[in-house]
Amino acid sequence: MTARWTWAAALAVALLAAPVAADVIVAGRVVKTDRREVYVNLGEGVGVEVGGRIRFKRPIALRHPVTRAAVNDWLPLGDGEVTAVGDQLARIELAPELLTAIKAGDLAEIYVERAEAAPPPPPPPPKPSPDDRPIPTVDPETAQVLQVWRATTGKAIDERIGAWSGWLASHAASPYAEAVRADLEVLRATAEAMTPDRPGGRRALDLHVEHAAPKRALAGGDVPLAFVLADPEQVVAASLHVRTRGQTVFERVELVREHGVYLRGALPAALVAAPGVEYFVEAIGADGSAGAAYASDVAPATIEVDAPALVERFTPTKQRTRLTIIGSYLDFATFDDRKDSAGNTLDRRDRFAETQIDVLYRLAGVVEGVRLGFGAYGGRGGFSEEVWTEAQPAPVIGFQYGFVEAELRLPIDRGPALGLAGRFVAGVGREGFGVGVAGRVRLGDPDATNLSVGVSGVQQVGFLSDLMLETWPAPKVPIGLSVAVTDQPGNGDLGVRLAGDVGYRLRPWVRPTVRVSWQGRTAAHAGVGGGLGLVFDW
Amino acid sequence: MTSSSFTLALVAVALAAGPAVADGVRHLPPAEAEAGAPIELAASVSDAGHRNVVLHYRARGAAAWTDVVFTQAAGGQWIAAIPAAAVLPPGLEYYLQSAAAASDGAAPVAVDEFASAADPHPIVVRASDQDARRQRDLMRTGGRRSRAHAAFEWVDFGQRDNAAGAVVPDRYYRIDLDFAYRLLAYPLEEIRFGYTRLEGIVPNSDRRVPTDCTPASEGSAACRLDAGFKVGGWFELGLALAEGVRFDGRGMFTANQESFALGARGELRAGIADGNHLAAAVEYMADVGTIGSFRLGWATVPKVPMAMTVEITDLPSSKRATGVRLLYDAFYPLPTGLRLGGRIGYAARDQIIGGLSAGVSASYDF
Repeated sequence: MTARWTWAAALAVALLAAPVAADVIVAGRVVKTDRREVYVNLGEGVGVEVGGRIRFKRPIALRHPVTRAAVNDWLPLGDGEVTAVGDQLARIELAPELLTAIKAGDLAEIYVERAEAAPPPPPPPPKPSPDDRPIPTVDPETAQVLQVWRATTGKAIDERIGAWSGWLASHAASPYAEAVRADLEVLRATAEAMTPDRPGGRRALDLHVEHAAPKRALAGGDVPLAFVLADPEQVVAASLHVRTRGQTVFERVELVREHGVYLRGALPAALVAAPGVEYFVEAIGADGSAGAAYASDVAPATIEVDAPALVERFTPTKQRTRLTIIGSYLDFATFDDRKDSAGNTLDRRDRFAETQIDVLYRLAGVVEGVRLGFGAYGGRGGFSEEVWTEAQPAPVIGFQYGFVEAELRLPIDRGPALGLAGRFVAGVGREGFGVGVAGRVRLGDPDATNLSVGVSGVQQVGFLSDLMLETWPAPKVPIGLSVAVTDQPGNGDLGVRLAGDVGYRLRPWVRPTVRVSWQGRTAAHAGVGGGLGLVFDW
Repeated sequence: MTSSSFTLALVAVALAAGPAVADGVRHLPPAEAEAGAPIELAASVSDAGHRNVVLHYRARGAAAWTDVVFTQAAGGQWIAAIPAAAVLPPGLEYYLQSAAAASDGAAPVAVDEFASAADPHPIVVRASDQDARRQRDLMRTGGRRSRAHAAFEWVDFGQRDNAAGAVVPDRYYRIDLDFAYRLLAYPLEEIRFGYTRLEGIVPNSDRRVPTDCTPASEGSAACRLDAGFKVGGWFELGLALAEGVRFDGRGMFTANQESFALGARGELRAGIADGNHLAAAVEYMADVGTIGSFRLGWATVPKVPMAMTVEITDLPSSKRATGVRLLYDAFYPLPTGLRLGGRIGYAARDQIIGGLSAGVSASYDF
């Protein structure tokens, strides 16, 4: 018997079983569940009697596979016998396996026989005017989808899953495949949510496939797999469940069924990562029963995956390199207007400027990035109480340097990212060659909100320690706020610097920044500063 | 099974493409293969007397298919073999067809039995770890194993003077010519022979011109020093500690201004030498001086790999004070294997006086 004839026969039987016009199906809801029985809001008033059978259904919202219109359907749960009836409520005793399946809110229906005569038939609809337009035809692909849709309406969830999985396994390239795949996910999620509520649980399928499993795979590449069904008549579809070793959740990949006995698919490249990839095959029978056909979720098959060689970290990819150019100027004496006894403003100049260019290369590992750059530093003064004269001019400080920096991202699973950066500085000042070091501890993502503490010390220049908060209050606008303590330039008096940076991401690859600062060594010896920067990412 | 689920089963099975069960050929595809070893594909053919089963295979990415007819082996299995010479990384792809003679004498029609020409099944072919690494290394160098390289660099630390007005330059030039061959016999990855010439003029002191020098005597040996060497030969081994981590060790022999002298150089590098990499190097040449450097190279700008280097050095004479050089390199590789480079930089022994560095380089891979 072909499927079409079988379906036609089933439809005929369903039509013959339809109620006569006077009888009705009365619908209500489960209002309460108890240990052994449930209560529904159907009573004597609507014709419910002791001994009648009430069937239970659960509403489910679906989408039509072709039109994608929202469709309300229901899943059959089971039925029970009415043991007591009140005016408004009825009590139904349930078989043990249904006790956990039925919940308040589920649909309750009862077939009620009515004695009164059938209502008169509705007037015949007006005869439509003849329409000669050709009836639109449905292409075979759509017809098949509609056929499965009709066949699954009102069916249990496992049966729906089985039917759609079977269709998908052999129609992976259909224009409806994506829609069906999405609907299957909804059905599976619903089935998962109903477990173990479904009557009798899900039937397990005992099926096997033959498979030659690879032993090793390259990280980041698809792993094609093929399986041969040992008992193809029993299977309508199969899925591959894949995870990277160490993960807890498997991802599902539909296997494509070919030539009846073969199932083909691939472990997705994104999951093929060191130390290995694990998988098993779940086969689905036509009635929706399912079972592991190769390995299982508790004992999955494993393919070893070698960790990518270090050289892969240096393979050119986008957004790995950042060029930063900054220039800043700080004046500690802008507002220092102290005068001598004659009322002359004293020369207390105290300022410095710094320019720097550097390149950051991101390695995306424990060593998150490496930076190398050049800079020049120049300043005069450095003391709050000194007065500079021709006899005692303000000291001149200069330093031209290069530096190399490595930033580590500590492998911490919980909490914000923790980074450590170390920098080695080598340069020449007025006294010749000098070196310096700098370090920074950062809490948070360096390209998002983070808080960091840094300290640096360079021969002939001095030290600087700062606390900095960087964040993105708007998607294109980063800001940075910092407070620093320093004796620059030239190992002078201690001072404090408050600075604010604001950037704007003009394009994904370029971001200018502006800095303003206030700094002072004493209340009287203070000034303002500013700076400009450009950041290029590519 | 209930009647409704039976109906549904029929619908599901009826909608599966093609026959529910392959009616004649059953084959378990291999998962992977070893490079250089033949692959034997086995199939069971139920009505073998009436049909030919044919294997079609090709290297992954190739256009043409090679056909092999299955033949019956002992035990009733049908076998087709892919010869060892065709089993090469990264892999092969194949499909099976059968063709049965029609009863009316018409020409047989080929039917796909496993996979298809449009969607063949891949077999990953694995090389040994060393072979796979060698393949990757050769891929990075375009299959070229040899490199001839020449570089010229002019380094100026600025003119030095003293209170008496004597002026002496502080500069040198360097020429490097070398030939490298990639052995890829890990851990020995490369060998390199080279020639270096390095000559310079510096004040005969650590930084300034000696105080007793005058403009009249500034050319004398007491004021001005000829530094460096005209002939330096060297030999270098490139040891790949791991894929992407390499140590280059060099031994050097020079004839400098006073005598025969030795030198050495070591560079530890992570990454790809002509692309993204980090390197730290130390070079020592007796009487000439020492260089310590850090270099960051990046190839993220299309077609123009670049590098920045911070160098700490007292070249060209170990009598000179240590200074720094800040260098920027850009390269332009051509598909022919020629790679041109340019360098600019700044050199200073103190913050008061400095000078420019500039250089050019060319290499040819073959």
